[in-house]
Amino acid sequence: MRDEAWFTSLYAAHYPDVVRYGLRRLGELDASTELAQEVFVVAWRRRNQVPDRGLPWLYGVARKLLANEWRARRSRPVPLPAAGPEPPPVDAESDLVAMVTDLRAALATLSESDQEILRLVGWEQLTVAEAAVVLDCSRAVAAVRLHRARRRLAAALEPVPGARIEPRRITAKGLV
Amino acid sequence: MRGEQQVRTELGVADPARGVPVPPPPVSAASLIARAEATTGRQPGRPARAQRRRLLAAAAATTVLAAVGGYALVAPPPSRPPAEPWPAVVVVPLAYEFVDDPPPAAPYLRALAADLIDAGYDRETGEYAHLRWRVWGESTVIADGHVASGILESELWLGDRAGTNRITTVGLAFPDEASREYFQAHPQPGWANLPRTEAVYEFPLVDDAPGGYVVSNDPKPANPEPLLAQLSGADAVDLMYRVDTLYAWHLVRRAHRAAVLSALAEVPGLVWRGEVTDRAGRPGVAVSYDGPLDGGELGQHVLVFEPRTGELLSHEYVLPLEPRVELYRLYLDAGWTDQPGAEPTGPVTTSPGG
Repeated sequence: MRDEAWFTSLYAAHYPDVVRYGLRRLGELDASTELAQEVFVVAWRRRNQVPDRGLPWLYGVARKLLANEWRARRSRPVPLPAAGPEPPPVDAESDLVAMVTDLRAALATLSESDQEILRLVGWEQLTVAEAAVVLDCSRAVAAVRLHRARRRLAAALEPVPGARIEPRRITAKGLV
Repeated sequence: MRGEQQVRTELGVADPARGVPVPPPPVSAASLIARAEATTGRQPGRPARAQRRRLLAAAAATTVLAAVGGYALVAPPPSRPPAEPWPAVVVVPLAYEFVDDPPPAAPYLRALAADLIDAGYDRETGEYAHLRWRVWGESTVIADGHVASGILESELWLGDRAGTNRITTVGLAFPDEASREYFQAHPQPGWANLPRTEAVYEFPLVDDAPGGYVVSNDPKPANPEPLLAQLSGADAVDLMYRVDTLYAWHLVRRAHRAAVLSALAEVPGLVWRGEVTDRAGRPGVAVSYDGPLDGGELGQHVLVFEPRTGELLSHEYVLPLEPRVELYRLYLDAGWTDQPGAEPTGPVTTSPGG
């Protein structure tokens, strides 16, 4: 039954996830907190449409709210927030720092559509089917988008001819 | 899906929110409810309009089954290693009859729709619709610019209210010879121990699912109008996906096959690629839509139909400038059966591409 108890449980379970969704796209905790509250206000209004596995649906609401906000500002979103955890200390993992920097830079070169499907699967850790719920498309379309986005990300990570060869790169094995 | 896990592995390190502590919410759930009610006037607990029940024609195979409530994994993957190396194929684009300046597809599709004959299953009966198809390009590994993908086979038994899907890995596919050589030299960790049968799922056939179509597998003749109504209004690529999804989850009867072809004939931009031989060696006729898609790249969606029955034989997504096949679904079997045989089987030794 979609009553206050159900909503309280949903809120407790997924509020941090929705805030982190905002953090990844806005880079500000205050704005992300406001976004999460708006998402759950919508969730209560449309509570009979929330699936049992509600998190992808909540992300979908957050995405639409952000899109509306961006449209209102008539500007593109900041694709990768500067905020967030600092990369590991340089002395300990300088290669990892370089890799994170390269990866974020490569992501920033992609279209918003490519970035979003990669973030949903890579950061929100959704399945393709769940990402399709967020993106309001079929799973097949989401699979194609992910496939193409991965290809373009891999191309963006390829070293530019003549450029310095990074000691570590992203591969199928992860960090090598 | 291994491709999803690879994305998480690759990108997780750059996640700006990973490990970031989130403070407790500044307002309670009750406050949010009050806020919501204050702006809508709706009373707490008032039920929303009941959602329409739809016959499940879910958007795809593996992960959607695992993700949607009501699906049950009935046979976890066996742990035994395969008896032999994975069959490996390089998947190249189909050879078209009309490569350059293909004619518009509409008159060909209308002619095909007007002259269809029965498919084998049009004259059969059975308790379960039985479908078998293969996909590649979804469970993808990318390394050093090279690409490998598992070829997954789904075999479905669809009854009145429930269905079963057995998913089997049947081989590895590569978009080019360089990728095959790379992965032969750099086999990925875990490949040798991948199970042949990935999983067997049972799932309800009545549900709200993205991409669902109200088309019954009932073998009796049916009015194609409801299907036509659902297929109208889509652009070319969307319609091609809808058609693909339809065939993935239904035995599409002759009247509905004609409706599908007629709907495609109404969509601007489809061109006729003429006679082809599909990846299972069957004769077919192909239509394609070529255009800039997401990200601006030139992509080509291709549907291949059986030239007499109008059954869909395959749906492929191609990057024609490279040229490279990015994804495909190949339809292999469609019929009726009284036996819902979904037990995991032994090693599959058929040609992985078809």
